Amino acid sequence: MTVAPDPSGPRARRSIRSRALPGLALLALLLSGCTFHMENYTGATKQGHLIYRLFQGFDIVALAIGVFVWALIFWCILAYRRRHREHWPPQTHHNLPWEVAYTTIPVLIVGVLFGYTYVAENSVNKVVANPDNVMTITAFQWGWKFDYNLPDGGKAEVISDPNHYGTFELPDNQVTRVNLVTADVVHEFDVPEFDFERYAQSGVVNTFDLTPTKTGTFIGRCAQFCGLHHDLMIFYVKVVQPAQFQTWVQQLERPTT
Amino acid sequence: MTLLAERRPAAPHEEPHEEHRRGLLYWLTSTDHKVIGKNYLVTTTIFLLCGGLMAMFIRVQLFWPNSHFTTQETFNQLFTMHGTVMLLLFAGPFAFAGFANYIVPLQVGAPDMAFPRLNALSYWLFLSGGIIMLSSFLVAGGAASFGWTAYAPLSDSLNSPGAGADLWVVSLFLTGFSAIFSGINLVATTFALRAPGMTMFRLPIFTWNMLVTAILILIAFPVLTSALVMLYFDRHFHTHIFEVAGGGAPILWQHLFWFFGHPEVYILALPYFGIVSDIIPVFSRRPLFGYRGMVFATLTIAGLSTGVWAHHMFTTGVVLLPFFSAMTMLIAVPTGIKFFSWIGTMWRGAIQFKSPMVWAVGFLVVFLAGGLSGVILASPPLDFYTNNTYFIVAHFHEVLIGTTIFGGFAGLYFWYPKMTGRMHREWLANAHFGLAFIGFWLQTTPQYVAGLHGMPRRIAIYQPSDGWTSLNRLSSIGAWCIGASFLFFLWNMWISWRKPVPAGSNPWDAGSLEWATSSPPPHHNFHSIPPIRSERPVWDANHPDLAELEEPRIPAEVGSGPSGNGHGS
Amino acid sequence: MAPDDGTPEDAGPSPGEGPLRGAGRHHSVAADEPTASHPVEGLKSEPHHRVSGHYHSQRKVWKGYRVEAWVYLGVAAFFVVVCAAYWFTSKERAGSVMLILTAFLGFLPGAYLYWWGGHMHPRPEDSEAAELEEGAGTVGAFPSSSIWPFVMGTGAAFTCLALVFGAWWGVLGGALVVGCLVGYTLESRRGGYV
Repeated sequence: MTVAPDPSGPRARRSIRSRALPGLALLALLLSGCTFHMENYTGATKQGHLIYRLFQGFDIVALAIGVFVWALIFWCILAYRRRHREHWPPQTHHNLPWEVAYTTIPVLIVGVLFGYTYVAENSVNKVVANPDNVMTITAFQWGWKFDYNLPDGGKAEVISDPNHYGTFELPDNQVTRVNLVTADVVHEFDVPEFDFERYAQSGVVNTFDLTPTKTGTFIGRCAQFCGLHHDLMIFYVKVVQPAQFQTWVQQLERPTT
Repeated sequence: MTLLAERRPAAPHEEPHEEHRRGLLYWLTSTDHKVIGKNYLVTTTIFLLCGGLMAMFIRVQLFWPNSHFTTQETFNQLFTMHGTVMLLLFAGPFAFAGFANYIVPLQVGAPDMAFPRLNALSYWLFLSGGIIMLSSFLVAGGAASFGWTAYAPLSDSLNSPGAGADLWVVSLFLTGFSAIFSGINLVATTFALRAPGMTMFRLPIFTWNMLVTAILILIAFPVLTSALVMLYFDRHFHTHIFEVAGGGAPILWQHLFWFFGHPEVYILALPYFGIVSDIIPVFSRRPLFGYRGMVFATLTIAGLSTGVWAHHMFTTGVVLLPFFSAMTMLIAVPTGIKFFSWIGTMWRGAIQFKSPMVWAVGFLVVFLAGGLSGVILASPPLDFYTNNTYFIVAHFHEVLIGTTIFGGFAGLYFWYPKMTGRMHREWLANAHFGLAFIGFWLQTTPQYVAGLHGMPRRIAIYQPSDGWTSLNRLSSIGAWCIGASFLFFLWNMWISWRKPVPAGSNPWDAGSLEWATSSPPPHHNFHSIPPIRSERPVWDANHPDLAELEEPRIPAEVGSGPSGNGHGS
Repeated sequence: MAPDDGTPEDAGPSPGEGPLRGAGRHHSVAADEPTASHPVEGLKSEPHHRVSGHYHSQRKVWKGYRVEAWVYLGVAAFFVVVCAAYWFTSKERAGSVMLILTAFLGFLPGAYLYWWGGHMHPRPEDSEAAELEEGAGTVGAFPSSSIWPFVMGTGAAFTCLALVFGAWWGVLGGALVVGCLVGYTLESRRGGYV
């Protein structure tokens, strides 16, 4: 049996290509449409916005790789179908240059992604030395307690529970230090609009800074499953101008203890 | 432990002839790896249907905002059991006990698993564990309702009293031991029972992956089992291992659980990578591209997967972020190697879309999406955004459905003729694929969006004002499509049972050793074995003239045809 | 997995001991049987030297258990490195302990296999040029039926249920487990089936 030249001559190739390309283009369009219409929150805090920017970068890289690899897969499906019972493809076992290439290129991509991640996570987790405002958030089954350390040394608190979803306020463009603790099981502080979550666990005090950059009222939830009424651990956070915040916080009830 | 005993010569008892070995006693006493493998496959498929049914109920509840289809407590039990049943009673054992038991001894040319009675014990422990798990719905207070991750202190006796939670613990204890025994058996079989000439670097990739999976089981499951013992002690003997009040640390549970939990994810994934690595070369008529790279990638994935447990704990604030995010991102590299090996195998191949290949290519398409969102989640700041939202839910359902359903059913349709001697119906297998594939995208894509819109996981009730209604509806419809697609599967099994079509020993013109014996294989597997000179001994024997083929070979008249899409048989 | 189980060379192609009925390895083509006669459907009887392409040209003979040992030793080496990196960057105890124990998990079987592989005759499954006849003989006994795994499994399940529902289940489970241990051992001593 003689070895024949590549059977799928130029003509066959072209017909495959003419079918494949519109399909691939459509796929790419759909995928990109999906992402850029996800309307994810852009981050209403300085930290959250950094996360959002990183997310965009990752999203584009992931989609680019995805479209590339999907295109390769669909190309194989379309172009390399078996043509005949006696169609015997070359029995290639390996090809070292290609194998080296598809090992090293992902390593480089991962390296770059890790670099950006490292920079972003350090900025997000950075706590300033002198926050404008300090508060403690205590999660419990199934609600939240927001305590403010007032400048005069006193304390003020807001409680949110399933009977009444409470609202706590934050000053716009000021750094608020949050100490997050729990009274019982593991909870997770989650304000989707801030693009930010953090666990509240017993034995651990989680400290982070929030610097809101957008005024408005945003919903917050518990993201970590914490028992029967996990879905009712809702609260609201209202970002207001600093002056307005000071008036609001001064009129809050002060716990007697 | 049975070694010394089994080295004695067998007693002169007459072994009953195979045809007469039927019925309950045969089922209860058989130590044949093929019988045990089939038992596992049937049992895990039933667990899949149970877990799937729970998912259907969950999706009914979430179809309407403010829905009261189930109570909150029932909902919590449902998703807890859905997770546990799917991950620990279906996805893992389906492959590392079901397929591995049946296929690995055949692929290495062994008459049985190394320790047949340990193998049987492993199945009975698994079955009893599974029955205990499912029956926990019947006890007072219902089943466990703390999520499959059972985070302390939610899982302690104060927050989760009742027999359901205890049954969850002891059931996982039993299935954990079952998995460890399966792992030991697999390692011993691969190491000590290979046929002459079957060197380690001629093992089919499926067997390699099962070997690596078995080692991962040996690393991960003892940690889970000991964590469960600690949890039981905390619940009943007033120790305070996971309790701050008594000097313990709840975070320790998370460390222990995820030190098991993340390798577990790869215990679930690697076998299905192996299945796909076996299927794609067969239906492309080519050897696997980059065999050694594939072995290396498998080992690397396994190693890295054990060093990344705390990426489930990024938002705890008490783990080292750069270490875990770097290790996690690195997993993308060997996974990429695997992808390019699969694509390289198909490249310039002669691809024939029989049902196993359709499912395997479906796996590639689907798993890629899950893998890429995995890279996003490997970045701690992005995890701060998406942790415990539906973004995560979408990610791991893509990964897990991608591997266990698409990879798993690729394997099932691939080896079904070998296991039963009968062909399934191709059109039903393809219909099963089509509906599952559509349902899959319909289910997961809206979940990504819902997650980015802030929908947390494990909530029973949401409000219309949250804006998640249409996303959840799409997702529910998708999930029901996946559920409905299994009717095609059951129908397929029914037809092939009632109207058998003989399969022959090698219906797919495959290359590894299991296709050298009859379908189903005889007792102790082989009457003869072809010479083993590569990882495709049967292919070598069937196509001796193709070994050195460097250029494609096609009869000339086909090449001159207009579009050249002759499908052959 | 003790390597003295089931390895053909120490079970040996001992002439007096043919493949045991129902227990031996039947797969190997007996030495006097021509390789060409494959009863298996679809197998052509091509002499295998025809398939010696470039990929198969190097006929390597591995030392016994060498690749297997390196798989485990690789696990050990990897986790020593990871554990060192983890401990010195995080100082976190739970993970470091688990990582170093995992390294031991790789080291113990790996070192044993490595050591044993140096002390054993090469096995035909470690040779790329091995003929199937080299594996002829008994590879071990494979009991094809036994009731005891089922009894043991049931006993273990009842014992576990005792942890939930009280000690009475443990009496039943314990009795089954103990009975099973006796039966299992006796069965092995008899070397027979139920």
